Amino acid sequence: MEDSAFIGGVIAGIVYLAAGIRLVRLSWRTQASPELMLGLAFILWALSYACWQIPIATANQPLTQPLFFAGRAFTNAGTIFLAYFVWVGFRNQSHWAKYLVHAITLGLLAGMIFSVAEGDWEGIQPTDNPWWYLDWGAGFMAMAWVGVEGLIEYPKARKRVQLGHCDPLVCHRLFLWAVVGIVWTVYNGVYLYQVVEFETTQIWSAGMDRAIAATEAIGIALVCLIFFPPRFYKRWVAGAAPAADSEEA
Amino acid sequence: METPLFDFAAQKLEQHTGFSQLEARGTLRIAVKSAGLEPKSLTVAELRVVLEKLMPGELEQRGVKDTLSVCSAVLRDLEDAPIAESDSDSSNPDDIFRRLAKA
Repeated sequence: MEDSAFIGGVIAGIVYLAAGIRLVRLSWRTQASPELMLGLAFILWALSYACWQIPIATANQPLTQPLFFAGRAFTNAGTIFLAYFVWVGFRNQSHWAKYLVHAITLGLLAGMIFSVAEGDWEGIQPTDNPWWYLDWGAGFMAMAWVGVEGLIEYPKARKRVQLGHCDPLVCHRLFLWAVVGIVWTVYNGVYLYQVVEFETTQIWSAGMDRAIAATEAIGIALVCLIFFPPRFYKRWVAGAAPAADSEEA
Repeated sequence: METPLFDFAAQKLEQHTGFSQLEARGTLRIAVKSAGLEPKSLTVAELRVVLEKLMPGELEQRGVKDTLSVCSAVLRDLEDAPIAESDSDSSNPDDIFRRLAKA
């Protein structure tokens, strides 16, 4: 695996851990479930990055399979919490959204459990193990849902901004959330291609590693802008938007 | 399912315009949606903005003559009535994404 992918994974883990801890602390103060769900999703993803990166860094063969499996389990658990966040945050009164969350949860759990039963603990044998696609497909659906909800909510938020009913920064954050959902969806698509290629060639190709690192870097940059926006960026967004109450004001 | 607030405002709009129930609810729904809001999670503050800024235009399009006084009358009714607000304040996307950056 290329250094760029390894470094990207380490940075991603640190950013998700920092964002996750902040969100869980926020949920203690607000007693609200959306921030708790998203915070737990990010912390679990940070743990999964650690599980993926430790064997790569140490070349520790006996630990590789258990840690890769743990990484897969943490990724799936985080994705389940992410889907719950989208449900409670965007569609808390919708029945179909509840069923979609349950379908994603079931798909991720069943895909992983039956993959293990087929002997594919790490989730890297898509051509031999059809259950891998259930696991991957459920995760892909969760990421796509993030993007779709952001794309639906952002134009509505722009209308609210014009009426002075939404902070321009909040509106912009919804836009970033839509883009991050699209980037995560693309990441999952690239990951599918990478894993299929690895199973065929038994080599993690440099091109796919770079594609993974690039989508990861864009996703991380967007997460930073959503959760740790620098002052100059907030000023720029508030200045570019129509007059309305702003966090920056 | 709309909030009791939406139902109340639609009923008052019906009274002050002579619209049928269907026309009043439809007109209010269009105005609420064009403000980027949801009838399911409408708050009093949001409804006030809709009635002040968007509803006069919607009523004019539907042939209502004194649109401003109709909207003022609905607003007055709104102020006098003890309507329970939707409890969605802490769980709509705006509020959630406002809180998220303040973690």
